[in-house]
Amino acid sequence: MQEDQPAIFAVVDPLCSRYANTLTGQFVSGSKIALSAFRPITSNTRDAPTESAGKDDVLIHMLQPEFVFDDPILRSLVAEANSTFVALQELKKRGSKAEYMKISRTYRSIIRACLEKLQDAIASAEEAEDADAQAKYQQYISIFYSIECVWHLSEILFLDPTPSNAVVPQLLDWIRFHFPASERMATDLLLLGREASDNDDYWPALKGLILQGQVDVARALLHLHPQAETPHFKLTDQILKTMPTYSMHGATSIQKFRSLWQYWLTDTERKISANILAIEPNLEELIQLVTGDTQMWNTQIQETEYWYEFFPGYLFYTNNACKHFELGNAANTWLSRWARLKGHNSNELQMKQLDRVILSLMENDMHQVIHAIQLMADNQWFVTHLTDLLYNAGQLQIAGENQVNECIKLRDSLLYDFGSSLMTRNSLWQLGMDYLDHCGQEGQAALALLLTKIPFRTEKQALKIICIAQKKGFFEAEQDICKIQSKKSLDEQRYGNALEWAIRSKDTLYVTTIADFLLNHYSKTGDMLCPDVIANIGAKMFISPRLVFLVKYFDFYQFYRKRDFLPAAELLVNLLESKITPEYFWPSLLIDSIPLLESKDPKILSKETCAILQHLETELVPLIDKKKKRLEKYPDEPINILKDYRIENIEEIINLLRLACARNLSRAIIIENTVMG
Amino acid sequence: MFEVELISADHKDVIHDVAFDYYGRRMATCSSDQTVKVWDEDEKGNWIESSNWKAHSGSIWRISWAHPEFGQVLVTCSFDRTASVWEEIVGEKVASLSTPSRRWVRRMTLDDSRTSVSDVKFAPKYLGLMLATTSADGIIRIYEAPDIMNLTQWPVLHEIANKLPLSCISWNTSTYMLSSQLLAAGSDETATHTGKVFIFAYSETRKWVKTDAINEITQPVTDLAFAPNPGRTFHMLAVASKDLYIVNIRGVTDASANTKLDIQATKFSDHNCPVWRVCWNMLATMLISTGDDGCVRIWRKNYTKDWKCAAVIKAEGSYPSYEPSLNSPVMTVSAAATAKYYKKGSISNPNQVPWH
Amino acid sequence: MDTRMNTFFVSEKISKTRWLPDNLQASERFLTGSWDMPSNFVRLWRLQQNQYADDYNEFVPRCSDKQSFNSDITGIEFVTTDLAVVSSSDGRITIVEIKRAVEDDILQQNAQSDVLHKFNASGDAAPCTAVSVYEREIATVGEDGRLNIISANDVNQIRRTLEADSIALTAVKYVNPNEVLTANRMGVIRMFDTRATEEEVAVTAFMTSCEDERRPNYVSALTSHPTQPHIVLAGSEEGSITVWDLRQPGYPASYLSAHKSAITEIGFHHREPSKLFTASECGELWLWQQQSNMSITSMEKPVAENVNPWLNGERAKNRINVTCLISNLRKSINTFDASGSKLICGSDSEAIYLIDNIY
Repeated sequence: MQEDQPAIFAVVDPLCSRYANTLTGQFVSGSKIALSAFRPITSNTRDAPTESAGKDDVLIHMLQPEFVFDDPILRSLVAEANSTFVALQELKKRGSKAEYMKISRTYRSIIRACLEKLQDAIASAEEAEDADAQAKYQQYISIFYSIECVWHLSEILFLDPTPSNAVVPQLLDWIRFHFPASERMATDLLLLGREASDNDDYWPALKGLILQGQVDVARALLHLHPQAETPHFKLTDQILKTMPTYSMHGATSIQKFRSLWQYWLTDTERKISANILAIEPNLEELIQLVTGDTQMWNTQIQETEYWYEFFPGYLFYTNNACKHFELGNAANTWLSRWARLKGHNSNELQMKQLDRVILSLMENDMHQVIHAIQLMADNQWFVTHLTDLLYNAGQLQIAGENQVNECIKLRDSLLYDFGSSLMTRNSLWQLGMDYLDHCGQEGQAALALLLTKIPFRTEKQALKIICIAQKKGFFEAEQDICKIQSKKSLDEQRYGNALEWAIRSKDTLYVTTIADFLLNHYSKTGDMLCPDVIANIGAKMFISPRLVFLVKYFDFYQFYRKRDFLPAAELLVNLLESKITPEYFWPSLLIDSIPLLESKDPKILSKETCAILQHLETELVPLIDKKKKRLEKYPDEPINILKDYRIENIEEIINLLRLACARNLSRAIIIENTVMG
Repeated sequence: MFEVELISADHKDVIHDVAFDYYGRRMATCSSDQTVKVWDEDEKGNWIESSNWKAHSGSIWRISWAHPEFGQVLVTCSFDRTASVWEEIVGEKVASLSTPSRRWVRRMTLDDSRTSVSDVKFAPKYLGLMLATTSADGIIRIYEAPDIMNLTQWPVLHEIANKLPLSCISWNTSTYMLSSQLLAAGSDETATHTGKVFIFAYSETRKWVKTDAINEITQPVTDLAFAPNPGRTFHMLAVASKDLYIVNIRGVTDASANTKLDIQATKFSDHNCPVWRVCWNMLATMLISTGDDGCVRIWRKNYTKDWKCAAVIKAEGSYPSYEPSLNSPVMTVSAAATAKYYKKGSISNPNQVPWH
Repeated sequence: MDTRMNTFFVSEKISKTRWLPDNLQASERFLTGSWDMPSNFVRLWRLQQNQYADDYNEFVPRCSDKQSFNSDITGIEFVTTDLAVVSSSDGRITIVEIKRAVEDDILQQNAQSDVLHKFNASGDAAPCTAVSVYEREIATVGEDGRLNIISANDVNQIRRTLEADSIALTAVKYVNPNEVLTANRMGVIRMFDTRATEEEVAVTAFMTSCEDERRPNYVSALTSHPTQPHIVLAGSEEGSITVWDLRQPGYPASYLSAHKSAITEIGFHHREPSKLFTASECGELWLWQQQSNMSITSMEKPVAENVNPWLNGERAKNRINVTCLISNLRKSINTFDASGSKLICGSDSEAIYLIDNIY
């Protein structure tokens, strides 16, 4: 195999070629790259405007390989083929040969349906006089036509080598499908009945049928000729009827077949040399073809554009029992003959890609075939699906030792590349996922990463992606998307939305950060942001102690506003006693307790009042002292000595609180003792 | 063949760095004209400049985006010895009717360096909001913002001094199958012939320790980049030096249960000239290298895990003056009819796609 | 029941589909809206007899006309038999008109509103997530948490706008001419009076039930019974259906666990209120068929017989048969609509599915 040279492309950018500049590139996403002029710098480079400053335009070139599946018609091909792909994977390499053939045929019928739609599209483009669209669809047709042609032949030669290895009947099938002109003509002619032979197409159709080995149809057409009963016609018919074909069911051995054939051939040649058919040169021509007459065939060859067009027919008449392994040689011999007759020097033969692939197929060189179809401009659709099918059917063989591993690696890498290319073309990501699902660990890891890279525009789409990530167990991906959404909402100052997304992310630190923000905001401004969200958090609050505090404080706040003081007080004391109060919130909490302490009929009982006092002295006061000391030590550091929106000076609060506690205590004790007494 | 879009960057001087955000939908460019521009891609695929401001008082060398979970945050580094952190905020409404604008504000200036800051990179998101800078005097500094809601606080966590001047730095993107987080830095010093790539690991003692130097790479190194690692058992580092190097790094445990790194470097001399920059794609299946010869090379790993140069893109000064003959170049005209891309050399099949 | 399902690949991910309302006969025309495509379209389709008699698709849909949109289609509802309102993720609604013809019908855009949903801080447009119609009044909700009431006669004039919620709203439904339900991403459903002004706050609010209280559970679909509109059913993220009787909204009447993933749409057959359909993200479409009432020898008291089985709580499932019409599509079924004997649904597999004989 020749050493593949890298393809060279050029980009016009005058700035790049000046003053020691060069070209640099970055990947944008997927396989899109951005190129721009670059000025090499080192750590010693002096900083000065470059000589090129202001002289040339500074350009950025965005390049992306063309993606054929953006077109709606081809897109439906990918969607349909995708479900076939998944059905194939479900067979888990344990399907029967018939099942794999069925899948192969399904793929081909999808391609054919697509080709039909492309034809329709060309017709409507013609009507609309859209030359660009016509050219584009024409190109797609040629690509997918080649694909179907190669797939069909691969199905015959790679996927299901017939038991006795005889390939001619299937090759004939294949060629008839791809050069259907003769068959179509014949169908039309057969409908004409007795007038068929008057038609100009009659003899060309017959010749075409014979060249494709359609002996039976040819005979039927011959019977329509008015002279069908004449001796020469009858002789022709007889010759055709008695031609032996190698039948796999007959269990005829090769030698026996060959001798039968030889006998028939000699007999026929004798009849030709007896000039019986000379009356009707057309018939003579037909029989000469049938006997494999070199001259006759050479004439036909010179009229073909495609080297393989008459090859199966020739095989039919000269080597009907040709085996699969003999095909390569036969094909090469035929090819040289064709090249010679067409005037090409076989050394210089520049074959089109399709021709070359067909040759490799016949030579049974699967590796070469796969290598060649990778070059098709279908963004790797064909090579991925065909290799995968061959792999699943156990028929994949490539050069090199360690067959099994190499096959797996090749097939997995093709699926990986195809799946990731679909996923990075936004909107095809849902189809791309299935391919990555089936290429092992690396595919799963790539899928997890690529799911997070999908640039979603609505929350609905984000939730869809999260649902998918959840089902596959990609916890990190799910968490990432939720956090990104949360931050976006925060930037938009939509705090309720941010909190809900943070809760979804199940990331304790993140939730704590947001809860902190909300509490801080409240203690600075007295404004409780997003109350409706906090009210409905429910059991989800246990994700973060800070969130629990926020929810419980909010409950207190609600009770207080509804003037439901007793439960409010109870909750307040619970909060004070719990260990989850954040440091900066102590003042708020304690200030909140002042009104409750100051009320005439004690809302807070004596025990709880003592608790409050205790908290005050053991927690808050030392805290404030500590902060004051730190402020002395580092006068520049911005230390927040626990501000609250309701009061300027923390010292004031402490005194008020002590007083309120004392008064409440006195009231409470009196009442409690009175009641008890 | 290719879809092409040409953007006129409108910088007054050459661009030193182009960085794309996590989704590849926003682009930031920085230049010797001391400005930063931010671009957004709209639904039709057009790139529109959304912001543009003077960021430094010297050429801006590099720019890096933070992970979107930290918001819209950029960091730039410059010859003026500082690195700056920028955040995009929704601006206040000027009048009640007009829509509020988005603008970028400077949150912090990191001015600890005494020499030009040559590179700055954000750390992978699992480390928090952290970044590393390298200076021309060889000091690596690592900063972290402990509160993601307040980007004005960036205490220095670590300072790592090196003897050689440093030009580039890269964080490893995962710790899969490794015992610690890695950092790689490269030096472009020309005088000595010692190894120019240094690997640091974050040890259990919460310090960064230099664990290895890649001694095969002795020529000056101008760029290096760890590859994104979605599930690979080994890590890759691309190094731009006199040649391109792709280094495979694996964590191994030896007989005495010590973990160390197994480092294998492969050299690629296809450029035949110094390589200036390297850039990985998101799955680390492709690599772009920038050569001094006016070309970028695109490398692909095939299924046998070998790296091969799949395509070369060359810059031309002007349009070709000859008519293309039938067999060779295939001209493709882009929608913006000013740029023409053509292909020459190798096989003439018009159906051929470069990276296969 | 011998249902047949036919698949048609349309090269678009379909987010919404609706049959054209046809009073006299079973409709053969429907609209589809796409999402997440490079260009999104609302298409008008018509079912035609298949020319190839031996194919087992009796009807083949053909696209008569289309209108392009530059953002995802999030809702389609009919105002009259020929006018439909389309909501999209750029925050607008558009009125489209269908002109029926013998050969090719025409779909034209009559009016498009301004951006109805915006984020306050940045002024960016917020996606309009759902739309509901009552006669000529349209209610829209969006990710900005706003509820707008607009008249179909003039889409540029917003009659009422309410700051309904501080988190994104996911669904909206008229339950009677003056009252609208909105549902949000936390699973809270609020009822608003459309005559209320901005200052008046919602009167009623209730929340969906959930299997696991610690997990978030958004409301993904909302509907009400066609003949008894005080019965409200909500489909949720975890795939369950919660039913309320609006006369007693304090607690749900029934809670039925159904699918394994979010319910994307829930709706009754337009003319057969005994049939409810639900579609889900994992590619399932179920038919919930209410069993006909028992004979007079039934044990239930006559009063109880009149109670809608949906309100029967635990015993609801005894009187309702569930049939799986589509299972295991692997890609989300985003939308469906049932009319006459046919049901049409759209999916992320880029195909539309036509099910016949759902009687």
